[in-house]
Amino acid sequence: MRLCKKTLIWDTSIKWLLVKKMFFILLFTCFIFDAPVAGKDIHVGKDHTIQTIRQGLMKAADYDRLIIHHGVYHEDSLIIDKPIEIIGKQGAIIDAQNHEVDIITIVADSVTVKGLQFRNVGTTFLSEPAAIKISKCKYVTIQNNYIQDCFFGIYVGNSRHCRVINNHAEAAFKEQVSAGNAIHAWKNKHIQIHGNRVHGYRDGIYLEFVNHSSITNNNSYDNLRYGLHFMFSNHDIYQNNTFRNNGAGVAVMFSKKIKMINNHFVHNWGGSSYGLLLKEIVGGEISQNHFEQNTIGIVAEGATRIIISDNRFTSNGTALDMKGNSIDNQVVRNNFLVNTFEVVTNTRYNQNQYMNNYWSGYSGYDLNHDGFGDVPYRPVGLFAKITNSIPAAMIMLHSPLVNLMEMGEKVFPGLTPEGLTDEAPKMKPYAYD
Amino acid sequence: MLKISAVILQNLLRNKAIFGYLVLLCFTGWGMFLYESQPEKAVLSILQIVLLVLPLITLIFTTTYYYHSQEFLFLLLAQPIKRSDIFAGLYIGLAIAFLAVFFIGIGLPVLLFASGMQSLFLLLSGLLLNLVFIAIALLVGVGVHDKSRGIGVTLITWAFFAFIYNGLVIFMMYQLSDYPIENLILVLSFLNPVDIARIMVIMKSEASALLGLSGAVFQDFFGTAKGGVVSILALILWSIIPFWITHKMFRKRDL
Repeated sequence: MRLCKKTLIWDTSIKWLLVKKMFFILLFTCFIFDAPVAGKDIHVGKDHTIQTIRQGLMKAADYDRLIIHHGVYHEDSLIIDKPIEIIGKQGAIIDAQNHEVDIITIVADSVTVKGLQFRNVGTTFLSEPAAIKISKCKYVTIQNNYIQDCFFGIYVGNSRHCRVINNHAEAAFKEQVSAGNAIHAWKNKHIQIHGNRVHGYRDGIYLEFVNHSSITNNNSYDNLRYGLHFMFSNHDIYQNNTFRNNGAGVAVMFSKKIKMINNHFVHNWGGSSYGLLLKEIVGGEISQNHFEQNTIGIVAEGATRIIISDNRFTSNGTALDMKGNSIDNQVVRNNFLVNTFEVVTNTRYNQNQYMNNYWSGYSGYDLNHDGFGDVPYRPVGLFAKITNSIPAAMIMLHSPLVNLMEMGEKVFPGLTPEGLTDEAPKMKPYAYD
Repeated sequence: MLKISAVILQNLLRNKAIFGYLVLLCFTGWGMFLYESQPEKAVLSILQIVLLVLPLITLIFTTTYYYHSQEFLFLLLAQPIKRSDIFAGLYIGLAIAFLAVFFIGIGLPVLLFASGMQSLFLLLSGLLLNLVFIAIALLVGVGVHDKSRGIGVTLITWAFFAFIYNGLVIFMMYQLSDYPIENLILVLSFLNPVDIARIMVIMKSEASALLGLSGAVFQDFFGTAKGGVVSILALILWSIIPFWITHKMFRKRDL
């Protein structure tokens, strides 16, 4: 027994020694091979020998860190063509003084730009000058920067595996035609846009030919056109974002298989405004989103095979506008709470499936107590039909006569789309969160 | 004048129909909020009550009350009291009674459960509709001598304002849908107190942006503070004009 214990102790101590040895060997090799990667620090600032960023960039070798200290630097057209890290200390501001050029252009892989402030990039329609432009790069990280009054904020072109994280872009454009986008991504793959705050631009986030990318936890508000704009982009996901008070919340156009999960579309309000526009898109998933106080929650034009599930539509003018060219979509398990119009359509034939939603306009009964009503519900009202042909008739909203006609139509449907029914509507709203 | 109002008010408070009306409004007003978990939905249901039930009961009750209290009014007329004072007293008494009932039945629950711009306008339009329809009812009462004919006229008046008028407007919209009819509709909606009240409320609610591009005219007009003031003034006018006509009739006519 005793012997056994001894051997055990011996055994473990030997093992421990071996592990220690291995560790040192590893550390040593790391030291040898990583030595050039660590690079040296280059300080730029008033109190340092290097006064301008341009000088600092010239001095820097691959994998160096360029540390920019407090101060306003009147520089622009800075080209970063080697893998370095640029770190702005508190109060480091680069001011382009309304020159119509990029402040920083990144053309090398593995560049990091952190903690800087950019301002005053001028407006021109010949090129698209931005505070930070990334061109044909990989593994670039743009993090914690503050961008103010620049024509374009962050422009990511022709790149892969880039990350745009926790930046704040602000502008006060007045007109759509002369405004740029806060984050503009063109022809990219695998990029990540996370935790940014963008407001006052034309589009908060604009994506064109961007595939396999994720847009998460951003806050896009008060933009003139869209909070987020997809064009010809496939297999992307956007999640946990908030789109508030934009010209229109999100536009997804000519794209395939986009996942839209747990976003907030709030108060995108106005004559021709809406929370989410789906135009010519195929596949994809819209779930767990919250549409609140939008003129129209979702406009679906030519949307095909989309699953719209577990969303909340609260206090919208129209919750869902499903145009006649949208087919094979599934609208299931959503809450429709106090929307003036629940579903609107411009066709008499229904080619989409509506199932198990909660409609606050529903007044049926549930005899077998399974939680779903026994009487099918018709979410498209007669009045919606009338206003579709005569928009001015909207002034009759909530008039007793209209309600009477609506009631008659519910009993003997004649004008509203026949097949558009929810066969088993939920009796009580789903409890989310 | 105020003394007459006080007497009439006393008489009205003992009236069973008024009490029944109070109970009805309490049931709908308080019940709606206790039953409905979404206050916005309850406000819309109450809007329907205000647009439909309130004018109906105000009209019918006021005309019948006028016919019933005719003997009392004749007795008063035999006294050395000015006719205009008697009429104003009658109007004020009825108005106070109806407003109090409305406030207890609808006003309190709305203020308690759904305070907001829309609710305020709902109450304001309800109060003004009360005044409008008391005036119209008295106009019918004084204008039509025969009691059964009078009741018939009030019923038709109610149906006209609640349903028929809107039906005619929608019909017209269909006929003229190719023309820019927004301004015309704007004018037409001022010819119906129920419509003014309704539009006043919906303009403070979700609908304002629903009107879309073609409805920009409405929005520009009703959506602004100016529109609100004009709507309120229009409703006040709608109560003053019938009151003034009836008042003239009551003074001049051989009752």
